[in-house]
Amino acid sequence: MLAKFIFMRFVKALAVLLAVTVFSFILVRAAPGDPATVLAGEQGAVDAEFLDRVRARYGLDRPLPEQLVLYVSRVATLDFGVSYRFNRPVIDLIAERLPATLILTMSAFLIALVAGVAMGVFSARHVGKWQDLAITMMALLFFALPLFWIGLMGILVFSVWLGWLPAFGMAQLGSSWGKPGYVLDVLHHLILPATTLALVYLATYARMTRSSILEVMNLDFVRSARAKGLPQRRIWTHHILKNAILPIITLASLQAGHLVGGAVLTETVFAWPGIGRLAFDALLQRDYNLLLAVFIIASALVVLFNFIADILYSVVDPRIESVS
Amino acid sequence: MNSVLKPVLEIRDLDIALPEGADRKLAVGNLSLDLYPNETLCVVGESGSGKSLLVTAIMGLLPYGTSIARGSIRFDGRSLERITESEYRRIRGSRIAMVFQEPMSALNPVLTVFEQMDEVLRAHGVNDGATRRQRIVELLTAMGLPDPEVLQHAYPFRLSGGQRQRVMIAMALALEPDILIADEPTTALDVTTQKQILELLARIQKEKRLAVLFITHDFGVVADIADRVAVMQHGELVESGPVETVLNQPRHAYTRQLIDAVHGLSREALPPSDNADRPILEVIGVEKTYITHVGMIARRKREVRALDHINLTLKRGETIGLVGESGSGKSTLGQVIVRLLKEDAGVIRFDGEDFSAMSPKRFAQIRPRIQMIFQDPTASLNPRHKIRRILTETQIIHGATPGEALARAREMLDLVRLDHSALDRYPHEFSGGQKQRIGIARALVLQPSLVIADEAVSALDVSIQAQVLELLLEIRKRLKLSMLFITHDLRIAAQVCDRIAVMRRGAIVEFDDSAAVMGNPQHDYTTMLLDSMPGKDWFLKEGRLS
Amino acid sequence: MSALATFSRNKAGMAGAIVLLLFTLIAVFADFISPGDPWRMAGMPNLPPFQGGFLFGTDQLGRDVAAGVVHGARVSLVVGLVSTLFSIVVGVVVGSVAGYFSGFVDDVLMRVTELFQTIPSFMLAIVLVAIFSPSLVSIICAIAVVSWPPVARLVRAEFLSLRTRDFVKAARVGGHSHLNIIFRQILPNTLSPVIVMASLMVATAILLESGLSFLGLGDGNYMSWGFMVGAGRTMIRNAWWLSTIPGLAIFLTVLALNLFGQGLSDLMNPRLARRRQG
Repeated sequence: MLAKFIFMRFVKALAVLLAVTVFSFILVRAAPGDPATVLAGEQGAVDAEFLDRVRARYGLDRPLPEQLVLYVSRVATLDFGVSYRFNRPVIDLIAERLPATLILTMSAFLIALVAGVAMGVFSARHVGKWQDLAITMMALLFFALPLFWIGLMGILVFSVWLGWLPAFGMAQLGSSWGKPGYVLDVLHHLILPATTLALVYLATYARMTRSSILEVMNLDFVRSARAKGLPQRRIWTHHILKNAILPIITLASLQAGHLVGGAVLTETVFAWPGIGRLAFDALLQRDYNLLLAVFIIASALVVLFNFIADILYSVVDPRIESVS
Repeated sequence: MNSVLKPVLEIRDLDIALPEGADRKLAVGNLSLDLYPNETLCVVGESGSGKSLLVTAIMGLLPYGTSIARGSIRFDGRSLERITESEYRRIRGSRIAMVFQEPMSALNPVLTVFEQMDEVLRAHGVNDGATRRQRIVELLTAMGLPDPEVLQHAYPFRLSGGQRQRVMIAMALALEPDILIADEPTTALDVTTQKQILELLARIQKEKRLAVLFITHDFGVVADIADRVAVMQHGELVESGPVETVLNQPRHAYTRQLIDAVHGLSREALPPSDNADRPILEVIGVEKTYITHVGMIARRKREVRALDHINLTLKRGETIGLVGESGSGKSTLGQVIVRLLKEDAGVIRFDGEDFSAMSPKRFAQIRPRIQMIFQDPTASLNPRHKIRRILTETQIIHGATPGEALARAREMLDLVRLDHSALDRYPHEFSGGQKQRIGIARALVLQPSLVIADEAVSALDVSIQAQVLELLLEIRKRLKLSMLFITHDLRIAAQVCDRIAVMRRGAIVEFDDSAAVMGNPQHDYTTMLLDSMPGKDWFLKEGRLS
Repeated sequence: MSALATFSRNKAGMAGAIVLLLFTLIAVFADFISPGDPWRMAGMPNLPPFQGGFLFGTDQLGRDVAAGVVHGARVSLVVGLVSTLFSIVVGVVVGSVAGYFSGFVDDVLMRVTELFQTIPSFMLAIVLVAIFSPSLVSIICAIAVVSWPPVARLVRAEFLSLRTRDFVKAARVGGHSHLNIIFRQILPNTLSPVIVMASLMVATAILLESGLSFLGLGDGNYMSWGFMVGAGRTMIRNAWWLSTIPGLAIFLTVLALNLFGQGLSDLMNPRLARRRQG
């Protein structure tokens, strides 16, 4: 039953990826002007030979359905062509940057989830008191923060004024994998960007956890648990939290996309060498082929994340097999 | 016999205060009540009587904002309103246990039956795992649950309503409590399941010599299980005493009203319907199957046969009762007849015309002649529309001028005995019974010849039910309406219907005159339904049921 | 009238409303408050706040930061409002059709909605604006494209629950047309949650717009807050005010909108509000 459910979700994930690919194909075709020049970037800035290569590569002289098939099959084999600006295969560029982005987004996600849920639980346990009010206010403030701005403010305060944390990059110059102190160095560099990226989601998780708990607390089975004379602790862990966490999982998977999108801004601000920063560089250089490739890979990341969340959900909620 | 015993629970001069801004100050006022060992005490009342807050107060689980303002609840030599939370916790679930009304939501959806039973035992000091496991299977077996070894590891969503309620009772009895509180434990169940649960509770009460505090609104249930009765109205105790005394010589007018609601109105002979006339509705061989798809891509089909070859003829001026439990297909049939659903096969003729042969234009003309009265008086009125719009809009769609529409709306308000000032008010400003009157007026304002009443009184308090039923009977006589009366309650059907069709799993198993169905049922299922009617024995003895 | 009175008692909501009103006035009267082109060189470059007669100082090209903040309010509010309007219209249409008719139509529309929710929205907005070249129109469209799915889901959920209510059945039995039922019976009942959501969406849209402008995807013809933060980014060590002040303007506007939205939500759902307060 569960295996079937997982298989079904896997098929769905593939379908979403296909749709994203077709969508980006349509996007290029729907853009004003010659698709070759769109892909190559600014008109007139590339030589004719490169344009010909682009045309040949995407079969732009052939009928549309054929072009689509060609495009999808290229993407399916992770063949995104060569970046004109970087003069390197696009997939190599992405593969090189992906670990940095994963480190950043995963740390941010963990910070947001752990701190957010903890704040939400704390808030709900003190509902109506000053602790609750303080956390609610804090969430409201975090929620309104422009990501790129709070990142800059972090740099201003902790790097420029206080000099505690590095402002840019992922490691000190000359430091690299294997050298002593590298991991600590990366962690030191990670603090500001990961916290920045986490703040908004932290606020969302805190709010969601709080309202979810307050809702579950009013349900009949919690009253049953009290009437059974269970200790408070057991009521909280097994009756309230176990049910209240379900919408959080859904929310977390829905927000995976935002997290990857937010990485573009964070990596730009902190010069973090991930695919978000790569997207920004592609933007600056008008290398839209590269931009689209980053877009597709980022979507794939999100799909993967949703897939994991779905499986997790099916483990936590016994009703899933009958609902799906 | 009780006078020699000491009560297990003594409630003295109890006041429960409601939060500020509520419609009254006290939910329960000046209430004194004793509960003795080895007896079932029924507390009877309708919504707003304070009966549910009374039991939450006994459990020490009063909702936020409400509190015990005065008086005491004494149990086992202690005043419960003064003990600490941790002392209370040791009493709850072990000395005083409780069963709730909604079996669907009273169990935690993400824990198995075993886990939920196990935690009660563990919380109250049964530390040996093997003992707990053995006890759980014993309890589930004693509740008559099938295959307890397997069932204990199921999640609640796998169980039926009746099974969940049995699990709740098993859980409540796990530690052999002195007192079992049951808050309308059978109200959400079908009558046949209700009967089984009531029998189970009665048997356990005798075996364990339990003190049971049973909350209900139904004097039928009272007649079946109570030793003593306490009647509450608006938070006050209006009458109490041994069950025979209260049933046979009720002193308070409200008690009489509640008892009367069970056996209902005295039924006068209905005008004979004209057999020579063309029937208003003919249902011939109607079928309907629901297909639900399970799964996302590789879809499994699950078929539910909601209507299985239904034949039914409704004569002009006649009322037919469609009786069945949940899932019997009675509501589906009603919806097919008003064309909210389409049948898969078969023919439905309205006034001699086949629905499926009608042009859309012809159907639009017929539309206002078949109307419906709904179950939930609140959900059936658009909360954003004033009564004026609710009663006139549909008429105007069918070609009435605003003036005509308004005049008829006023007429209908007179008919359902509501003041004309109702026109300029919103639905939320009315009580449940008033809203249902408005719902009736909306159906009648289109001058229908056929009305489908789908559980039209089951959402109302019993005393209001009687009033609305009386109104329906009167209107039916005055307007010579034909009516299809859908209900789960044979008692109600017997009061208002000329003929009764009993439905089970999509088929009509018995169809005859009301008196025949009630007095001489032919089908086993009808017999079972009749037997399951709460309070049947007492009311039959009293000659209050035909 | 009584609704207004109730709202005015909600302190946080009122504070939000007042700040919003202030920013709206600034946006409307930008040409009076700060006449002339905000892009022009107004004084010495890199003047800190309060120097040389410039409230918020000047940037590296000698442009008046205060003038930029005043004129930037226009872009933020216009983009926020118009794109929200678009996404509400799309979301309401998709959600109500899916929820009312259900079945196959619902399946298809919901798969599409899910797809749009899965795609990283900010990334999609970047791609859209970049490929269709940055302009006020493309920015508004891109934000609308990524913002409608939550509206569609909300409206659909409301429709699914309202559709089975007896008053809708009554309207069908009364012979009302589908259009009449959708627009006159059901839709008005979904309005309060949609309005609350809209006020929060304006906030999200403003954040999205500022993010795009920050990355250099703003409309070059209009001064915007995000652009100012982005342009001052490299100067953060020497001229902190260039990024700080416009960013503060974004933060305040978004905060005000969230407070306002919260206030609206409390107003329209008093039962929930009471529970929120315990």
